[in-house]
Amino acid sequence: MIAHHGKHEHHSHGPAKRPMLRRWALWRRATAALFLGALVCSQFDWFPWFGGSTAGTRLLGVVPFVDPLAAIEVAVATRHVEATMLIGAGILIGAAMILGPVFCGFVCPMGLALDLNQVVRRLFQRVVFRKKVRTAMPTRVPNWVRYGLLGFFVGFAALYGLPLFQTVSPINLLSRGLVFGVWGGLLFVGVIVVVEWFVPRLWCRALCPLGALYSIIGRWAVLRVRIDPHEAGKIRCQQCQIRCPMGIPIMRTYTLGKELAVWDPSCIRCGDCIDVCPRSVLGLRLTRFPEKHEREASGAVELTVGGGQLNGASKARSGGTLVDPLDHSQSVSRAETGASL
Amino acid sequence: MTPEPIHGVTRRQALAMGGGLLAGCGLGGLYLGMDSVASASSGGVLRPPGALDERAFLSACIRCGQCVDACPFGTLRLTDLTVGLKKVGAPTFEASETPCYLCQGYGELLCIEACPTQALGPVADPREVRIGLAVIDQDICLAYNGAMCRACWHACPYPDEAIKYNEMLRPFVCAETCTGCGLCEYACPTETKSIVIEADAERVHGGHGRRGSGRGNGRRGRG
Repeated sequence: MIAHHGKHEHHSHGPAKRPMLRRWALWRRATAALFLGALVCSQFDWFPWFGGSTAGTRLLGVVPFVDPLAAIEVAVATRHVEATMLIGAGILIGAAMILGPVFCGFVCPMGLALDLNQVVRRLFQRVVFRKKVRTAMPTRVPNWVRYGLLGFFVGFAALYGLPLFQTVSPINLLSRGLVFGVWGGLLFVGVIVVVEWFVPRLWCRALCPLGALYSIIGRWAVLRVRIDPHEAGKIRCQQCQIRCPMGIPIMRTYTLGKELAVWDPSCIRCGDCIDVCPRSVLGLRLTRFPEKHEREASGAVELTVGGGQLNGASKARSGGTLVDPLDHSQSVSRAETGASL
Repeated sequence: MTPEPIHGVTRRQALAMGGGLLAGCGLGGLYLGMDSVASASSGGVLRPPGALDERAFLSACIRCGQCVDACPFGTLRLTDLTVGLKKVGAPTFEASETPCYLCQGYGELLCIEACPTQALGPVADPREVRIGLAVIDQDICLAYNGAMCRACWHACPYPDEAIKYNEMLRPFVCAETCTGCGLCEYACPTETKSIVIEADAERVHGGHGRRGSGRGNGRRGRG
């Protein structure tokens, strides 16, 4: 992480990284893998948990879940809304309104595949190319393209009356391929996996219209990556924004900008930034989305709180110090701070 | 530091969405113009019971495969990329491999129950299912060539209604009552099946055998 530290530092101090069981990466991969496993097993009669695939499934044959984009496409294509579809999509839309695009981070099988793809890629770079320092994700991947694709697929459905994205979506192709054994679609998934060795997370960041839809739905979500105002900006190691799979400039815009949380709508709550942060500045928390005037007058907060310095004001705003229950290594050595500053 | 448009969708994203919408409509219109006549038929693909007419079915089906999971006989499967972009992932079945048993022994048609978007519309009685129409090839049918064969009649869930015998003891299909379940095709002993379910066969009586819900038709009028 901090290159000039040398190896002995790393060994003696140990937990710059969180222990394995306290990493979000482990848990989100576990939930995604469990869901995919449940989908696959559900084609057998003895496991009736999640019939169907990612486009639409049913918990224990009772509670419907319908992909919101699929529901919109079908509603627009047929000019008709079925009750089951409305309920199924409504559950997911409601969840996304509160939790944000957690589907992308914690459920999506394609997200899991591409996540593991990046793990393999990083391992490959470390072992074969002897690469020690993490390279930043290229930040110039055009984020707006996926919004264009979202519009494209909805428009296509509106006029042609075909939910085209449900046929070509690699998310569906992957889950259908694994669940129902229609392997042809995995070719497309494979192409994306190969491309992502050169442009990491291209699909999620630039192309996925479902992710774009979840970003729009979760715009006012309350589950956010919160920023501890006391620790924010002290190290400036940039690990969070280097690692962020969505290319969000977490440190540049949010941590140094004295923001309360990462407000970027494309944040998929994967927790990678929390995992790599050496000072536990970040944590997944329920945070009220600020009103417009609050956002505009972030400088005026000092006046309203009064008396305190900047950190104090931010502290009052966030309602106390942020303690991450997932992290017991809150007190990373001071030496490290000094060295990197 | 320049303030970035961090809250919600930026102008560029909104513009992209609008542009994509227009592009989708444009391309869809082009596709529609080229394709308007051909795609009303399913191209010989058998759909699950209760399926709307092919165009409306492909509009409403989200390709989730819950019908496949629900089928207790393992009849249905999802189509792969080979059938063309529109039909990818939609459910179908091969009558000669596994026919549709119309959920005999179950209270309801389970695939229809499972469908979240009613691409498989409700059917009051399994007799009303119209998957296709059984068509007999009289050149190779054993009964028409001097042998004594009643395999299709025995297999048919509605014998003497859907498959009848004339005075020469040769089978013929009653177009009004045949559900197109494919049990006859499955049971047919000839190497090349001499009774085959045709998805698009014109019924002599009683319309095309699809229960028109009006949903697909209204949409087609617009294009």
